[in-house]
Amino acid sequence: MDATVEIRRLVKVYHDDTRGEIRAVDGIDLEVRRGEVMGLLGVNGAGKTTTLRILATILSPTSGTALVMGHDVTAEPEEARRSLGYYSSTTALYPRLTARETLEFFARINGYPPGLVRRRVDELIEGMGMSRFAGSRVEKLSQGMKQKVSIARTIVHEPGVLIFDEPTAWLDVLNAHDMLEMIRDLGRSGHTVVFSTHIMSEAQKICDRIAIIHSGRIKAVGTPESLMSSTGTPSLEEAFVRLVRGGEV
Amino acid sequence: MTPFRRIALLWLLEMRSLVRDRRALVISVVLPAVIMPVMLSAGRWMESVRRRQAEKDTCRYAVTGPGAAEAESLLALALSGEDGVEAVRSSADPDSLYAEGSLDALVRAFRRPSRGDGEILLLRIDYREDISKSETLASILSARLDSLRLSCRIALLSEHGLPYGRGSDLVDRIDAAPRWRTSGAKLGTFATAFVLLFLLSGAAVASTDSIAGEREKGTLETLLSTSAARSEIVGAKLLAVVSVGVATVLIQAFNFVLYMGLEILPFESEVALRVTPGTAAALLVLLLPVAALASGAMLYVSAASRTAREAQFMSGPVMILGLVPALAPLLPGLEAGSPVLLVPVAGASVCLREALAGRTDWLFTGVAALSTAAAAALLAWRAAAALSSEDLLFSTESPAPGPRSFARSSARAFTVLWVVSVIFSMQAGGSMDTRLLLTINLVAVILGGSLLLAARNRIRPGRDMGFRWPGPVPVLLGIPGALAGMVLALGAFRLVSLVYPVASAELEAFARALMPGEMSRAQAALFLCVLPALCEETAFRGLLLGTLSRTGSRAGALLVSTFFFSLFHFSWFRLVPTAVLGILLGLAALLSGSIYPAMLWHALNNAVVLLPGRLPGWLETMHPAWYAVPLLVLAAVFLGMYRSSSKRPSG
Repeated sequence: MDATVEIRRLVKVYHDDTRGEIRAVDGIDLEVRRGEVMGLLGVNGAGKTTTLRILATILSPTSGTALVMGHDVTAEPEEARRSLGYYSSTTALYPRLTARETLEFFARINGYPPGLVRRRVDELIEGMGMSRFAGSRVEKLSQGMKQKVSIARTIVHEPGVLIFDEPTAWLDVLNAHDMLEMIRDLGRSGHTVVFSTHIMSEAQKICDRIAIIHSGRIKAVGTPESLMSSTGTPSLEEAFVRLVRGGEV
Repeated sequence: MTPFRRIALLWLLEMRSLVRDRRALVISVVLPAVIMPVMLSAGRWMESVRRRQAEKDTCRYAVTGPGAAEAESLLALALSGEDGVEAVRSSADPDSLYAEGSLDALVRAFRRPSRGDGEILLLRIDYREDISKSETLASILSARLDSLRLSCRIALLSEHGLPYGRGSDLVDRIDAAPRWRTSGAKLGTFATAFVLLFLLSGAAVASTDSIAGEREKGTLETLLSTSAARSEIVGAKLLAVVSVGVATVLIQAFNFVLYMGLEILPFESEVALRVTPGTAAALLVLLLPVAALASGAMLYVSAASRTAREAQFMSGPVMILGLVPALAPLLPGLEAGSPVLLVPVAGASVCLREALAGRTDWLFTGVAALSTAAAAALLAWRAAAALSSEDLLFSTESPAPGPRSFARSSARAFTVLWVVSVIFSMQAGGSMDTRLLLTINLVAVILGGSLLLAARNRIRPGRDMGFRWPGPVPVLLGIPGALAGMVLALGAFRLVSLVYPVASAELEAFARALMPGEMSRAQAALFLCVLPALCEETAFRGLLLGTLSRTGSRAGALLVSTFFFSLFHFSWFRLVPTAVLGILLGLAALLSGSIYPAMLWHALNNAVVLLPGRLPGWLETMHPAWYAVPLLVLAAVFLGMYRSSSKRPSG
């Protein structure tokens, strides 16, 4: 088995004062293979973010299991976190640290060998074109610069699995384009990437496979082409609508 | 990587962020360092200006009443050599002169029959506290008359062969305690409270940004996705908050020493302290857990708050409550060997006083330190648990109008209402009819403001505010509840009086203000019983307690609603009894699931002002053991309310 992410019968239930019991994730099964870019495609509230937060051990599942690089997110959360890098549109950087300090902190806290931290950080700063602002505080950086630092802090400890939760939300067109390019490059460089979005074109552009998620359930999994051919639709958008609407009828 | 290294790394991150935060630095270091000397210097300057002004202007008084002639000669004797004070003797009516402001004080001289034959002269000085010249003259007259009286007394005693006089007191006292012990005991009485105040203020600044601020900025989610465990994150944050708290204390201690050296602060030359290595060790053992507890409390507030602003608002009540146990050494007869050792902070505070007085008992010190450390550990554990609370983790987004959205802004909203109420009372208090003042404050500000807030936030009166009939039994149980609660509140007042004795004149003035002469008994029932019960219960138990208890912990909701209830009734001697009443009314509302029992209870409690005469004397003298009776009655009342309410809360 070369699956680096395995999700089995995953359930997450919330209790709300007014709406009662909400099944945000309702029995999801999913496998993501090594070096694959897997897209979770769904509308807002479909359960994408909850699934990814469970994978990142920020939330606990109500039932079911999730393994990251063989580590159970409930039983071995620290090991699971060490094996992954998590990025979302709501994760932020410490504004009063410099870009370099940020990368050094995240490398060390995630257990990167102390003697190699400086070299790794230099390598990333050089490789991602951050030399110009590496010594500046994050609060002084532009949106695009912050985005680069964020990506760099996600991968600084060389995790096997990268999770991107709606990474282009709140980004302008150019920054969103650069972000997608970076994610595609990370996939090509051998990382396993789980990526969530509600924008069809983004999923089609960078994902090897796509899981269509709706009301907490996986409706279909496959390559963009296989999803279109199995639904007999000319575009991913129409395939998505047919799968989601068809499931409800 | 070991957990200790991760904690050290996280601590460094916290400290680096704090040191680079200009706002935190200004609030925790610059302001405390600057404000105290500025305030002290300003106070001294204003006092000197006031005195110079008072000295420059001649103060005028007149004497009136049947004993005026004798009083005038007495005052002339008493004021001999006092410049700037003039007795006005004119044909005009002294009362009219005083009323129109031509006089700074009016001395009324009465004659009363003495126990033996003849009469004695009684003097009463009328003055205006709000006018500095008048207040200064009253002080001068009182002091000079007291001095004259003492001289006369000494002369009379000497005349009858008693060796009484200046320099040869009848009763002499010799202090056998070494000066350093006395100084240590005096300093130790307040030392923990001062240290705690500085710790809490420093900790509040650091903790607000630490969890609630991180949650708001989005860095908490980033941090939680690293391989650091939540216990390590909380441990590091606790250490950082303790560090800032301790740094604040040290800065303040340095400030004190510096200002005393520069003579900005008055230095008592009689003060002598002896701090041996043993004493220093005891202080460290006692104060470190206190620092951890203060930081743990603030960190928990931060972890349990959804936003930094919410954490800031919650910090105020926590600081005030936290200072209460630190004042335990003020209670008479409380010694280090008593059960107070088991009360966090209070035990440490008592042991610290003993240590500074040179009476360190290591067993007691250890127990007090452990009880405080245990409370600190419990709060840190609760803070770590709050980091796992999904409800808190991802709820900084603005929710739809409802109890949850109101809960976030409730402290701010009630603070605004309080400010409006205080400003209105201050502006209109002296000139407006009491009934109109009460009506505007209760109906317009408290009730109107609350209903407006409820409407804006779409709070449902029945489900959220407790406007629902719980059945007759819980409501009727409000009657024994009110009686037992009143006895308990009086007991609380007696307890407070041990520490903060209230002059009977102050109590009488309060009673006069509460029940002015122009109010009939029926009007008093309406304005003092019915309206407060309806308006205040709607606001404090209905809106505030109701919404907070639905969206957070019930204990926290009770605490916050009681804090605001006490704040709206603020006066030092009423603070504790009002807080007791607030807690009891809150429990009645929570346990019955309705505010109607609390309304009846509140009205009956206030009805005490309608009773003719004073309360039975035994209530003011009863033995402490008898307070078990009202406590048992209250327990039965609350049990009855809970079991018989048709709207009782689940869980």
